Amino acid sequence: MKIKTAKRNIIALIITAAVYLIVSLLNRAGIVTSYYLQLIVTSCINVCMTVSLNLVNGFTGQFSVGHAGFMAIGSYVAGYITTELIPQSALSGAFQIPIFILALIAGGVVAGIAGALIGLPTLRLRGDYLAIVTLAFGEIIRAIIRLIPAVGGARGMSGIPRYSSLLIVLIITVIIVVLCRNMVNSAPGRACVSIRENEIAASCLGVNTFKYKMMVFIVAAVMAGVAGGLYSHALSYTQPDLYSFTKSCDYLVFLYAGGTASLTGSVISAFVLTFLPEVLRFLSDWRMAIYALLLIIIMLRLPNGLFGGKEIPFMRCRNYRLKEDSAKQ
Amino acid sequence: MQGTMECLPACPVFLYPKIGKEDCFIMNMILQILVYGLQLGSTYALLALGYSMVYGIVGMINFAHGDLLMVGAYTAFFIFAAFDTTPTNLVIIVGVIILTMVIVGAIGAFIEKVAYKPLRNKARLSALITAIGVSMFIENFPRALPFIGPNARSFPSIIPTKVIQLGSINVTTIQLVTIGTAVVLMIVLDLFVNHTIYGKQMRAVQQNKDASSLMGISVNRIISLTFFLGAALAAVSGILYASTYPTITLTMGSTLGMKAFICAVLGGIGDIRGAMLGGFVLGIAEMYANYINADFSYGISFIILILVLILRPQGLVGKETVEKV
Amino acid sequence: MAILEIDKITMRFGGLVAVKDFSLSLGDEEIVAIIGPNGAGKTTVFNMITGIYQPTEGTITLGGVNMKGKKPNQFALQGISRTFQNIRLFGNVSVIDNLMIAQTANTKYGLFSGFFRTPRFMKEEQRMAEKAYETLKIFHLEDKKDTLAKNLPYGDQRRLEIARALITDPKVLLLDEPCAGMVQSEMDDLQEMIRFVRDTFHISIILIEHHMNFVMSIADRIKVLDFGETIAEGVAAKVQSDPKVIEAYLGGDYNADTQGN
Repeated sequence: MKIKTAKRNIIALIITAAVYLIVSLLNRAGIVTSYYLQLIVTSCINVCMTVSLNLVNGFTGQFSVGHAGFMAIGSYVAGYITTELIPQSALSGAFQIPIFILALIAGGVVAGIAGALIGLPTLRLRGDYLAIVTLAFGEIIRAIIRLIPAVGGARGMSGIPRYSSLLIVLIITVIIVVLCRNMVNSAPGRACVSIRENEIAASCLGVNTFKYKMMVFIVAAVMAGVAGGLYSHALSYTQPDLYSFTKSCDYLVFLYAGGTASLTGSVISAFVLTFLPEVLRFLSDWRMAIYALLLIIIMLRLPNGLFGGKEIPFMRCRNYRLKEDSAKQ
Repeated sequence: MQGTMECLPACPVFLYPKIGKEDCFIMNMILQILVYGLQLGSTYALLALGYSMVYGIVGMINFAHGDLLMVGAYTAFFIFAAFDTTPTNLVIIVGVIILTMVIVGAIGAFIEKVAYKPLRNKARLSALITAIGVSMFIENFPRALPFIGPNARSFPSIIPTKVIQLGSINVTTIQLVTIGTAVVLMIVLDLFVNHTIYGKQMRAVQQNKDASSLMGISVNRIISLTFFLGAALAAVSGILYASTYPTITLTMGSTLGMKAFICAVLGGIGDIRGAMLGGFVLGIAEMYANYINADFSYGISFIILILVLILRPQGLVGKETVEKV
Repeated sequence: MAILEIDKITMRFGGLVAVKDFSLSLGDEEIVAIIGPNGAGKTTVFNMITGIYQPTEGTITLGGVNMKGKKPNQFALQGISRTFQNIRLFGNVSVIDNLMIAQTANTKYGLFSGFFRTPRFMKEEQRMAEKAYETLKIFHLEDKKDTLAKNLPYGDQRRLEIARALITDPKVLLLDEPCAGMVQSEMDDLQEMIRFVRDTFHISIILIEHHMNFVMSIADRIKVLDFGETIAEGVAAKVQSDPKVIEAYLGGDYNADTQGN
């Protein structure tokens, strides 16, 4: 089965390359406007945010609602590095990408540290309290950023270099999705699922539930931080109000509409729901009302989301082969 | 929950109390700010009650609840607009307020029936996502309606503004009415929940839905009643808030809703008296913090929240729950 | 040295004394049954031995280590494993993955290997899967390995829970009402399995059970609890004829009560 997983990885790589080539060719030909290119980049960033949120909310069954807060940290840290510390003008072209990657990693690390600081006191609490604390955290982060003059306070930072090209965003998105898939199909990922299914039984089997909750919370925070870095370099500016509770709600909506504990669902719904408001643009004033109505109907008709718990083959991977299986086949 | 910083702080900065430092002694100032805190706390407490009651009875965070405050303010606005001149007769004003409560209460109960009830026995969090959807809908639907539209409106002044000297501090009639109305409604609610048959049924459903229905309680009706009461209180909260800060917008409820939700958690979510206490605590704390620094007043609510959750996770008056193994 | 030494543990919830001065010294490959009427505190004893509740008084020594203040997962690492009265399987997870999860604490790779699917990761996964499959065979569940646990019939769920407890390589296995909801033939099978498990893996077993025939035929020793107090203990025959036990089960106060009313 190992070979099969490798084959699927190669297929995924080919599909990604094909998507990139087709989109950039269509862009050259003027069929896909730069507006839609930007929308695809945003969709990819939303995919990163939704799959990482899925690790916490879907697979581990914790309820974090301040995911945009980590995104804010990542976007500011990465943005500050590429704009203030090592500005584009000081770099020759060849160094721009490596610096950008380093900035993204730095953003992810700082977001991860923030995740650890929040997780430490709250992941021991049960139930909805994590939700409330993460909500508060998201708001506090914004309040703090507003008070820091070095990053522009409430006005935010502008002039951030547009490093987030379609290619880089696509590659990082694929890496994040694959890492999430691998984690879910490994012992730490299964431990997370056991916490969701029955925390007491898990701990009686020797699973250190607090450790795995912290682990998954930090991993998700790091990924959100990286996504935030991509975001500020796609917009070329960043400001505290981009990461309000509304933004966190967007990701919750993407996640639950796609179906929890399904990476496939997260990827698809992040794309569909990013494009939907644009598709509905012809409705003008009615647009957001109709969008909200559609969302309510989806949740009422499909309470487990579009793909609740189900995955396409690429998102599953088997790590072992039992003799009995081969005997039967 | 379209909360952005634009509609923050809870009341626009220029409407915050202006207190001349030179002509006030510290003690007077503290008392004066306390009055403003109580006023804001009244709004918070009335709104927090809805969050707490709903959480207590169906175990969901009704993210759309804050928006019902806006619906209340707008409903009252349009009813008053139907009069040629803004009525000054107390009976008519009270009548309009009660009518608004009934309408908004009915909307609240209707939302529960349509959007939450079908998901009651499904995954707990899907109801939360529909609540976010409902919130988006409530904020965006009126925007599309031609007679409402996206523009801010100016709420009529239904309470004549008079300043009353109470010792060394000034209290306006609006403040007295706001605090008075809130306190009276809370006492009535407390009596209702603790001493009437419906209140007893509500508490029974909160304890155990299945056992309640076996005892002949119509669980659906009690849940509807809870949503009705919560929404009606939110409507009053909206009218009182709009009387103080007359600029009403479609997103006014989202930030206030989040603050009120924090109040409910502070007091111990699910606990009615806790929500009242949480409302006043936060309102007062915010006003004092605002006197120090306007930005600080926004952060203070979240800082208090995190401190309470770490030191006393069940809230100020909530009871600790233990999972049975 | 006994594998599990329990010295006078007491559990109070507020004013209520759920268990009082419970002591037990468990020998190697011994099967001890705890019986008693409903609410006698049997499950509370289990919750204390697995670290879910901290005893108010008394000490638990597991493999020579004092377990005071330890968490359930530390109890598990020290060689104790249990099933639950109301089954607590990982319902939305396949049967074999239930057993994979139970091996988490013995997994010899970390997050990094999981992320990048290193050779060590593949080797460990293969080893754990084979072990899981072997364990499933003991409990005749190998054909259902890909079924979701929540979709199993009740008897299979009980057996899977025992399999899951066993795969952690415990020294002491706690079974909380393993026969609940089983028919006679299933109970006979289960009895065979428990003996087989004890003999093959050399473990000691404590079980809570209401089916007296089952208890009498499988247990080396029986402890009887009533209102949290140990009212009798010893071999099956001795316990059966103990007047206090008969009183607790048939209700000595029963007649007095009804007359009083």
